[in-house]
Amino acid sequence: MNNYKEFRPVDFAADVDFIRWIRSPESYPDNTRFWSQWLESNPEKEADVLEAEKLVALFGYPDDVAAHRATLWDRIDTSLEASEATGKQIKMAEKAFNWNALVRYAAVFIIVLTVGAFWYLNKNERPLATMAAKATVYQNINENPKTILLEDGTSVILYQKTRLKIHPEFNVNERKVEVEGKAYFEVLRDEQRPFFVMAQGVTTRVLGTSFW
Amino acid sequence: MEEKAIWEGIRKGDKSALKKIYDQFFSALYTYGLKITQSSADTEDAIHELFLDIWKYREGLSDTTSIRFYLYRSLRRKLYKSHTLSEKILRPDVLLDEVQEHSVETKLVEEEEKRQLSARLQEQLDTLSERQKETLLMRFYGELSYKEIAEIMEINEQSARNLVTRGLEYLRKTMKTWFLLMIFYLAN
Repeated sequence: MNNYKEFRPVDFAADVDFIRWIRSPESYPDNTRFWSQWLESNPEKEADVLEAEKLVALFGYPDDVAAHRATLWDRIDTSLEASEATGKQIKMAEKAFNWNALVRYAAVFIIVLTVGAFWYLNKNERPLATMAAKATVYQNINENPKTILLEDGTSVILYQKTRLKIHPEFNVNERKVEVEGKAYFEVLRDEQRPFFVMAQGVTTRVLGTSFW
Repeated sequence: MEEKAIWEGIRKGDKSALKKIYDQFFSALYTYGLKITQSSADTEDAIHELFLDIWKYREGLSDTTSIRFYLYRSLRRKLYKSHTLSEKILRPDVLLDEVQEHSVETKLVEEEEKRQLSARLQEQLDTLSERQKETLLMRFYGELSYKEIAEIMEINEQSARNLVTRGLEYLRKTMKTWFLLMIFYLAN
């Protein structure tokens, strides 16, 4: 129970029981009885209660609220009946809708398949272009030399702790590799695609020979 | 009828239980919506949708939810879906015009006083912050607890309490001025 004796007008006005007493005394008879008795035994609070009443009275209903209540219920009732009556039709419509959905999914599936096929064919035609971006790196961590055959026919012997990086577009217009360490190249001659070796920041052009 | 019994009735497909809720809460829901949107049509649309939803999803209703809380939370969501806060325009003039249009001489002075008060209230509410305004409306029309208001507005309980009290203090201060203005207005 609230300590109503300490209440200011705004506290009364904000109290739900007080609001109910002012606004709908008939709907809450127990509450109404309580407030009548309370006011009788606390007459000094009458002025505050009156002020609180005015505040509550600010929050009234518009005059035409009853008319709106009636017309909107008719509208709701009509919608409810309509939705019940068309319940079966809606279910059938849902089935038809599913067929439409199936056709749509099929269309998407075909598109994906077509795009996929194009991509796959292009990949085979231009393998290096599509493989792109990633350089192949060979590294010899063993003590024994390791021989590597590059895709253009060049063979490379990598000695201990040597790293060989193949340019991503190796063998497209040119052949570019990077060496860190010691390696022996036997370059296959191809004047259309010159062979470049980068080592310690220096690039060397090779046509077709073997070198260290 | 008790809340649980009403929910139960609706779940079982008893349309009279739905009507009972509607009759009990319409006036407050409608006024609450009207004061937020200032549009009777938007408010009616939202309430229409709200009651159709209750009926449509009646099997999933849980009787642990307070009806009030459920109604105000759902109505608020619907109102804000069609009425974003930033789009709202203050239209106290429109309300005042309506008031004057209705005030034919046959109306009692008392009635006139009520209308004036309601128009002034709307004016004053619009000078409050959105949150202050909404908490007041939820308290006075929704008769919701501070805990429920806090949950709906995603603030803490103490803030909800403070917003209501401060809003009322502001209204109380300005109210005294209105009465003077109104006496002046009516005297003319």
